[in-house]
Amino acid sequence: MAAVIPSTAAQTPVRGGHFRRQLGSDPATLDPAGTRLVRQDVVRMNIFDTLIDVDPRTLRFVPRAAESWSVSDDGRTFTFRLRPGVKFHNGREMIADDVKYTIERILTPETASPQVRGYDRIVGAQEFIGRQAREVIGIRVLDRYRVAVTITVPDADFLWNFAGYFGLYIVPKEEVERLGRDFGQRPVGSGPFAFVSWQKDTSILLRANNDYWGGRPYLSALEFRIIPDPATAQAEFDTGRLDFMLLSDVNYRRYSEDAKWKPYVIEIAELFTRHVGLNVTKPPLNDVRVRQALNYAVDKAALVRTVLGNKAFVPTGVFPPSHPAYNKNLRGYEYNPQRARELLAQAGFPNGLDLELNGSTSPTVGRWMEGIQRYWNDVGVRTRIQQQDFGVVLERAGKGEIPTYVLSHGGAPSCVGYLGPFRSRNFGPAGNRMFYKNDRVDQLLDQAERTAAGSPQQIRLCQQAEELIVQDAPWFFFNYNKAVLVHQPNVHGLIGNPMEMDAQDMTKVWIGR
Amino acid sequence: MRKGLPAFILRRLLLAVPVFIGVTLVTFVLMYIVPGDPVTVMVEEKMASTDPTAARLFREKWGLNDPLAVQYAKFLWNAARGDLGLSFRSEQPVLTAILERFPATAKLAAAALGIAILIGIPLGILAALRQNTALDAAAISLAAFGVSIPNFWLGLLLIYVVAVELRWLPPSGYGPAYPYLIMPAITLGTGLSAVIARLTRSSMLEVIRQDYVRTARAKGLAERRVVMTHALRNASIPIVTIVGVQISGLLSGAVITERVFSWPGVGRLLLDSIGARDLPIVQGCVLFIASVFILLNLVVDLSYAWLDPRIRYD
Repeated sequence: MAAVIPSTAAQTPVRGGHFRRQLGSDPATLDPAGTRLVRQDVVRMNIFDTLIDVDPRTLRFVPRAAESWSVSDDGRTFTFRLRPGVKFHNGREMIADDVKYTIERILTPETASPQVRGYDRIVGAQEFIGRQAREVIGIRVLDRYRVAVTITVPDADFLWNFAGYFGLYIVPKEEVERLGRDFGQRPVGSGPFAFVSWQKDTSILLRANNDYWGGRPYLSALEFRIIPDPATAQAEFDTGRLDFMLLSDVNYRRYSEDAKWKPYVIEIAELFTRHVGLNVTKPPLNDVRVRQALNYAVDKAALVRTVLGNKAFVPTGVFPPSHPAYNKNLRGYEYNPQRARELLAQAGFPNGLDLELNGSTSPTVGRWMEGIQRYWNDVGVRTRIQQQDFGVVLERAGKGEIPTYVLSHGGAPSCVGYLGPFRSRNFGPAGNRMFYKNDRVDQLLDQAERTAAGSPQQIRLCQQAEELIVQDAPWFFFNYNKAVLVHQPNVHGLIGNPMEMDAQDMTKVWIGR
Repeated sequence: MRKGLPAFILRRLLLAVPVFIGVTLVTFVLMYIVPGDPVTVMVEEKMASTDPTAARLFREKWGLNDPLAVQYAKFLWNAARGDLGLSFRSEQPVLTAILERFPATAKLAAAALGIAILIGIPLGILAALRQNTALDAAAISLAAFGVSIPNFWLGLLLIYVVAVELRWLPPSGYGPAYPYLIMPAITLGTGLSAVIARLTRSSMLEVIRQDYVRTARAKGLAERRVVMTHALRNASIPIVTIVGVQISGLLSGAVITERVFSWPGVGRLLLDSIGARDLPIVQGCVLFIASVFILLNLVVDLSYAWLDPRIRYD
């Protein structure tokens, strides 16, 4: 999958260099307590440290600011031991109090952080949010380097809140208080790169942190250039003014089929499942046969080849091939229009039916919907496409106002988290916009939540739930995203990251001569 | 100073107040009618889901639970005192966000206008003076072409030819006028130069047949003097009017050019903020654009008196 060139991989890394990469729009804030958009986190992950990291190759936890951690026998208390000598960019050492402060800051009502959900299960968090307590009693500083966090009910997935580029970034209290609302504009962290400047809608510049606990990064400067137009980004890359760029289905073939660029193309099955959510409470979608028919009706392989420009994989279920819970025995729905027509007839629609297909205004989504529409029409599902702003589609789907919605779901290597939208407790905006409820699926996932994260037992439970979900078809399973980047020939150290291709570990990257 | 001028300016500025109230009210109501709650848009991107507690805290923090009328009254009261509020996303003052982008917008507008005037007016004069010749036809065709080209197409064409193939200029970015301003200014100025050329031509054609032009020629003035002083000055009122309107457009609506050339202007800020339902920024940008329109129209009106001394402000 990943294009590795033995001759260059064997070279010794070179120090120095100014690395330039792209952001599609301005992140607005870099405060770790703010919104968690990918374009923000790919910058934050360089300025701040999380306690735990996730190895993109194995999707397993690895130490970062915490050198070790443990889970109590009852599965409720998580104890982290910080690495001594982790220094913030102002020179002060990171200690256990910083972890407590960072979580409490997110839970402070005045912060109004969108991340409250991750930590509201901590003992005492509700009282703190309700202003009845001045501290969260479930976060205990044991000594200078050790902090213990206790949650109300066992949840193996709780550790994910601290891990990876979407995990908790530890902030220094004195800098947050000194800078106030400007902290998000001039962030101070402990990461491998330190903030230098931010020219709005133009560029964010970071410099290497020479005192980084993990060693000085190879690059001396890291610049995020804000380039909203994909065609312009391509021109910037072609003229050597971007060191790498993510490819879309529009320009994927231009590089992957060009002998000059092919060696520098890296691709991977990203943890994203594109689907059409089907509101199972709305007739005719309340009939499982209709939902199955929609899945059988579409030649997904043909759409992947044509509409998606081969930059995707045909799905067999919820989990993509790079997910630890991927089930290679699952077959999913093959292209069988005859079967689709039979199922529709059995469901009482021998003459077909009318259906509204809702999706965002993005041109890419528009092309997807046209492709799906063609196949659905073929089996008698007269499909009307309706496009609105992404946020509008999400909101209306969350309220149950629309029968279908096109969405790309994913990101989390945790199998319980990945199946979140299928749990009945997540009805509506919390993710289950299909209003799908299967008691057995709920039970299996409750059980998986209490089982050690990433263990074979947990994965088995998730796979059992996935099988039921595929049968019930609350989604039209469309495709798994293939994430692709292309880099300049002299760039080394970039790898395929299935969690998010853009979340590259910049401490490993260097520019050759 | 002309009699009645201060009173005229004062009256115009006072008239701006209802305009401000009108545009902000319309924007306010529109942003609420349009589906898409700011809370929903600010969810965690990966999971595409919103936590009810987080949504509640967000609404409390930004006063989004108040009745619409109360929210609007608060906004007006603060705006009247010069406080446009904070961005939902960055928590930075709205005014700061706009002022950060304004230099880029102003530079691009000035350069585009310069190009438009330098090309448009001479082309229009030449076409008028050589009416119904090949030169006239060429100028008119060029103008029609200029008006018809979409900005994004011209921009991408320039990037491809000048930056990627010839490597003369960088494809995009913000920095010193050379090399960064050239392509965006040409892209934005081309359409405008065509508008100005056509208008100059028709306006000149009208004036050039007037008796005073014939008189000027009859008394033996040099042709250059006749054209530049007697004809062009009298022909310039419609040109100034349209330039005034166009500058307002340049200062607010250059969003396509800004996007293609990664130029950090006010247009992009407005568009991003609408997408994110960042209402304070949207309101701020709308107020800013309205102010620009009102001020420029005032300047245009004042210039009429200079161009045509018969015009009085009373």
